[in-house]
Amino acid sequence: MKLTSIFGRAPWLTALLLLGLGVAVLAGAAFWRASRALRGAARELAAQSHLPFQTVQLDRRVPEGTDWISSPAVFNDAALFEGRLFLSGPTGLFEYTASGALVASYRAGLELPAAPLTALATGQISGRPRLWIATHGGGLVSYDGKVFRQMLPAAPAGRDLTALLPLADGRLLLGTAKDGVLVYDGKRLSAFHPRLAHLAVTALAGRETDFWVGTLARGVIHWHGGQADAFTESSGLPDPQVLSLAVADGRAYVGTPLGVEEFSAGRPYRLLAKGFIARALRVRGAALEVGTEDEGTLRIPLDARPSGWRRASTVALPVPVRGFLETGSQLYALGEDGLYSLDARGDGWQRFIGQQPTLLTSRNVSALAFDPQGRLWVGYFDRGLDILSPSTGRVTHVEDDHVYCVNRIVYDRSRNQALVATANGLALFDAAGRERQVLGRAQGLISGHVTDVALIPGGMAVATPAGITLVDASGTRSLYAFQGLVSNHVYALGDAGGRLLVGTLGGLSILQGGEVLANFTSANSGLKRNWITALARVGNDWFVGTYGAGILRFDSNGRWETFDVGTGPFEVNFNALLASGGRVYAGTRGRGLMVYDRAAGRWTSLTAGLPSPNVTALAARGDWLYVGTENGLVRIRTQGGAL
Amino acid sequence: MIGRWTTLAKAVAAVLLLAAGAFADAGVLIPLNRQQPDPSILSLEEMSIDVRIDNGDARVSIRQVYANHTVNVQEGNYVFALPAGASVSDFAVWDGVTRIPGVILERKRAGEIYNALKWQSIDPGLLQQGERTAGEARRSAVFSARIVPIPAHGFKRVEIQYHEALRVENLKTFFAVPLHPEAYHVQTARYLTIHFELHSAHPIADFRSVGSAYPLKLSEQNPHSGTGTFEGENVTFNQDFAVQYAFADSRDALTVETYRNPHPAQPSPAEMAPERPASEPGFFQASALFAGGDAQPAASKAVAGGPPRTVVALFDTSLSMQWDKLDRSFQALESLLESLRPVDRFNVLLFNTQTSWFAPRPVAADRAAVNQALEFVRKSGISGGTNLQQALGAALGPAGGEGPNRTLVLLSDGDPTRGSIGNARLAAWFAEKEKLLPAAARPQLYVFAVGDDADLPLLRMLTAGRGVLEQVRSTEPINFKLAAFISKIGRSPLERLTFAATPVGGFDFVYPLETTVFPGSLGAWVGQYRHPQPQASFSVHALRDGKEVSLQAHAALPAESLNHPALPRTWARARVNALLAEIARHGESRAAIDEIIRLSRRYKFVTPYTSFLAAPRALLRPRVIRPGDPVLRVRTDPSITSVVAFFPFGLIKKLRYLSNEDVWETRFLAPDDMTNGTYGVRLILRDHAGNVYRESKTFVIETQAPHVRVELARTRFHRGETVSLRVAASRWTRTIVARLYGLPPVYLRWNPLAKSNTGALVLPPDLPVGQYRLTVTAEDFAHNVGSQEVAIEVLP
Repeated sequence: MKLTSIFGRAPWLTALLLLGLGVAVLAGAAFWRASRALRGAARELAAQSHLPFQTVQLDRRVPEGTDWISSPAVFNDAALFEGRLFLSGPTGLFEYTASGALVASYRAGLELPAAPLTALATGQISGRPRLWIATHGGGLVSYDGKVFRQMLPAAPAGRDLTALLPLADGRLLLGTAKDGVLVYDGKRLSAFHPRLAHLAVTALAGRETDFWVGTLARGVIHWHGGQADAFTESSGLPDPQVLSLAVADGRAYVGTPLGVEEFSAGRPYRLLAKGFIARALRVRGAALEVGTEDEGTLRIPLDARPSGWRRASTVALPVPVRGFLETGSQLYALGEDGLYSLDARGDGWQRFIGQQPTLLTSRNVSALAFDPQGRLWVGYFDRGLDILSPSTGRVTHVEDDHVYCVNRIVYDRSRNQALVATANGLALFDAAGRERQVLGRAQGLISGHVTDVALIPGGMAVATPAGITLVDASGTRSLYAFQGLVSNHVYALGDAGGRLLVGTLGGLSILQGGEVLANFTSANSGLKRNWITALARVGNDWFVGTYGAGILRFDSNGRWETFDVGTGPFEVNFNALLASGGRVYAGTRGRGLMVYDRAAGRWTSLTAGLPSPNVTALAARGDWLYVGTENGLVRIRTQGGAL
Repeated sequence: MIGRWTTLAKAVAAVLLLAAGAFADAGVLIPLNRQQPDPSILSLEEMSIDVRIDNGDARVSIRQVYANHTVNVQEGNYVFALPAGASVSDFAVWDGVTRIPGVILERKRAGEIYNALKWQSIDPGLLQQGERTAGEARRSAVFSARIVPIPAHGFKRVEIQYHEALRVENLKTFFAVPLHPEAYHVQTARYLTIHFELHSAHPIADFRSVGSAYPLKLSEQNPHSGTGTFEGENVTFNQDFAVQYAFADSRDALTVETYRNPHPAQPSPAEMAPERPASEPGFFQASALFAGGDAQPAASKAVAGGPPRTVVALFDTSLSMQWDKLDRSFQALESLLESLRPVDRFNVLLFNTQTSWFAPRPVAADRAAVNQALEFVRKSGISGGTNLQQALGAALGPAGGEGPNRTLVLLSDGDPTRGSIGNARLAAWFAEKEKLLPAAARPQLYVFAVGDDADLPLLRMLTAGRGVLEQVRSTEPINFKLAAFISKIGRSPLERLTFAATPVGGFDFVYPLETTVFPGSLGAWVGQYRHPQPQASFSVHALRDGKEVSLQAHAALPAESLNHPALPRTWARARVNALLAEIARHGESRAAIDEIIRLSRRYKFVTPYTSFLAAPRALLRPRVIRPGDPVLRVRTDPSITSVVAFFPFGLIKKLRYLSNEDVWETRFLAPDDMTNGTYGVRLILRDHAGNVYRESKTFVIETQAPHVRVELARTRFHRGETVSLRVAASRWTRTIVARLYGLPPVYLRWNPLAKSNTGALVLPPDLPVGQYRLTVTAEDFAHNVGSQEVAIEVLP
């Protein structure tokens, strides 16, 4: 057929064909443009969804002149990697042989980032198998048996990891404290799915296409086939807080403070271990092992009857159970103080790995002081105090209903006694380290919660959240806002020879003769923030630590001065200011140790070698500065060392 | 997993728990885990208030219906602040169509039932005097109960009834139902009805509503009774419902009312151990109205004339006075000193375990001396225990002045811990000490008792005869009582007041309702009569300003008289008070305790030996997390063996039991990013039987002192002008006080219309001109204090 004939016979048809051709060309072009735009958008979206991070190899060396004073490890997770047992805890990672012998320990702040370890997992992610370590604030750490590498997300929320779940497809799910579930494939880090974003994740369990996400207050979320089903208290959970998860044989077990909910076919099925705080779960054969907070473990037979829970007898463990580990036929329970193995009869736990002997009773240091005999008094956040004798190496631990939450320790040389300020009174210790008396409300203090104590002429001043009490030979006398104190909440005291500086939530009060002489606040002075947390006398001046404005200088003329580096938007910890030698030291929240060189008039900061950037207590003796943190105690040589 | 929490958080300023209680209002239902009523969750749909005043007894019945606006079952804390002199006589919640009433039980038994119900996951409300033993028994001003369940999109009905003893002061009586919030946000009732009924044997006049919020529509008004109603929709409780009336006849008069029910009702089916009386006695109340008061406050009259007075204020600065009691005592002292004339003399004695005088001898009450004295008190610290004996002894010494017209004013909670601490012994010692003085030089003792735990039995003994006792609770406004109290200073009460009734032998158990009676007020006696009589005679004798007063009345003692149904209860309370005084003097006896328990249960009022059990569904006994820093302290029942706290930021901590304090305690660290606000902490409690209970508590993290911003339209004022104060303050602010040198403090209150805290400071016409600093101080629930100073200029 000739075209001409066609055109000639049906010109309307020709026009129609041409029109169709044009439309097709235009449509093709539009489609191409749209496809290109879509691909571009997808690339852009992918780029946006990828969370920036940096990877660094950790090869830190311990700074010279820095000694760690050992404190007990507290364990929170366990894993088997390349035939070795690894236990983690806030203070670091501990490597054991299969027989339980300690091979190596890696400390947070030295070999590892200065961040408490929170969870362990093993898996092959983008290459060879690795031990994966989640941290609180330090992102993800991997260990290949030789080298530690840190994957540090740029966003702080991405660094706060709570749970890990390696997937068979070579990816690793990361549960975060606030930012939901992230996924890491060794090269890229991204949010897993918008439905799983912005969650406070507490636990992860399952496989890549079907997994469960436990949350802090929003129950559990079941992710399956691209769908997320949420279950809260109203839809079957005994409690909205998920503490633990286990998945086996198509069933999921969700541990909560009030028991374990069993899910079958993705729906709530029955409540097990009712009333138990289920912190760890493991399905073993036809039974569910439940590790509890305060009642050891229990084994629940998972028979087919849906009639509820057939209670098994509990097996005692003296500490909270944080996990289970199984090697071959041997079951281990991870307690906070070590790894326990189940005996052959299955009715008792035997300690398999325990804490190493340590000098200190606790890692959470809240107060430090030396007495004239050179003994170091170490007060703990909630474990009483230790008295360390350098000459004998002997450690005396004191912990009772009063000496429990220690805030401050001051040694009174004139009476040869130690004053220990606690949340339950002011305890007085004699020179031999014996607790002699406890002052509380019944003895005239305005409150039993003592935050600081200062020696003043003829007696002492006691700071409390309800005001201050002045104690002398005539008895006690208390003052608070009624008598003119700038605030009732007193946190720091300083004696200036007849005048008493009182640091409070609402500013600084100056007392003379037991009466309020002046009040300084951010409204009437150069004080940058009202909340005073620490005071230290430096020559004729005072260094004043604040909550939110760093450190200021308050001179004898009542003037306030700021520092270039020392003053800033950070917090000085409670009574963590010390003037010693030619320096002033300040313990900060999250910024490590600030050091002021009086001769140079300059502040520097130090974090290397510290077990935590949260420095809570300071003391000095000889050439050594003792630095207490929430995660352990170190001493640093002041001459020739890191300082 | 715990991680890097800020250690500094141990210094977080205010961790406050919401004890349903420290400050409360009338009939507030607060959703669980909230600090304030939230009408978006639970709204007050209906409220009816039924008031029946029968002479000196006011019976207030309140019915409230709350609506749940959520899709969830809700639970809430019902909080009701009782006025002083009031006691709960009934409480009930409705579960659907079933009314569940409360019952009065012996303390021990109430505790057992309370525990038993609690183990069944039913939380019974318990109102009792004292936390521990009858010996430590004190009255709680706040009744609270947990209300659960409140069905989704459903309603909950709550009923409470209380009786309040009314006083006559200067021939006037003031009565109020506290609707205006003291601590919580203002409530709005969708429908409000008030029914008010007043019956008085003495003729009344000038009956009026106080305030404009609830105008009563009077349906009946005559000299002996009045009835009125109020109905409104969407009524916001900006004011208290209050009425005031005066006694029309200013002559002395004695009236008698009787009650006898020969057919007592069956015991209530809710009573768990019902008792039926064998025979019902009759009851009478004789009320003597003594002329001598007038519409003007006596203090004003005294200012205008009268002999010079010497006033010695005994100001308690012991540790037990910390916080509100000290503030209220100081307010009373300020008002007291401000009421003095320059011709009067005064002194101030601070006392705790030691004493300290403002001046070696009483000084003239001029402006400078008053200000110095107030400054002296303000600068004093608080310390130690209370040596009341030493203080009273010192006040009777030279520094307390000498000569006639002398008054000792004790501002205290009256809880001696040093010196003689036995009530009877201390009262006897004081009486002996007074007797050593010449009769004309013996001072009157006026006691202004502050706090819910004031030792009223002791203070009653001290003031018996020539004294005056007034108590102000932590929840009630102080102004009316303080004004009445101060108005009596310098005036003489009636002396040698006696009551007699004939036929002799026809009456039993006759008790006075007032220990001290002033001219212008009412003296009343209640008693039982054994047999009906066609006529009986009653007489009252007294000395008023040295002149004899005799009153006579005749009345029948009927076989049946049902007009004054509150009389048996009034009598029973008087009888119990007498038995308690007897126990205070001579120790406990089984017979006395048994009778107190029997009367308390029969007539429904709480005593140190009984409890009000609002079973089922109510509050758990307080598990208090004390104000302070992040130390969580929880008091539990003895059977609890473990407490674990679940914090909102993921921390799980087991609490440690401190046996010496009988509390569970732990310390926690708030994470770095925990901002100021209210947070919940959940407690899992386990008892020895393995039962598990879940509790929720809230705490507040507030790292800053209250913010205060004073708004003045101008800063220059003329003498005699009123300075209108508007002050914006932080959310958790509890009290706001404005002070100007030389003037009484002004307490600002939340004004919903102005959406600010408002108050009025009146500049006296004789205030010296010049520059002044107005200081406004705000204090929050954690006792953080913030203040702002504003300069003002006073012009001629």
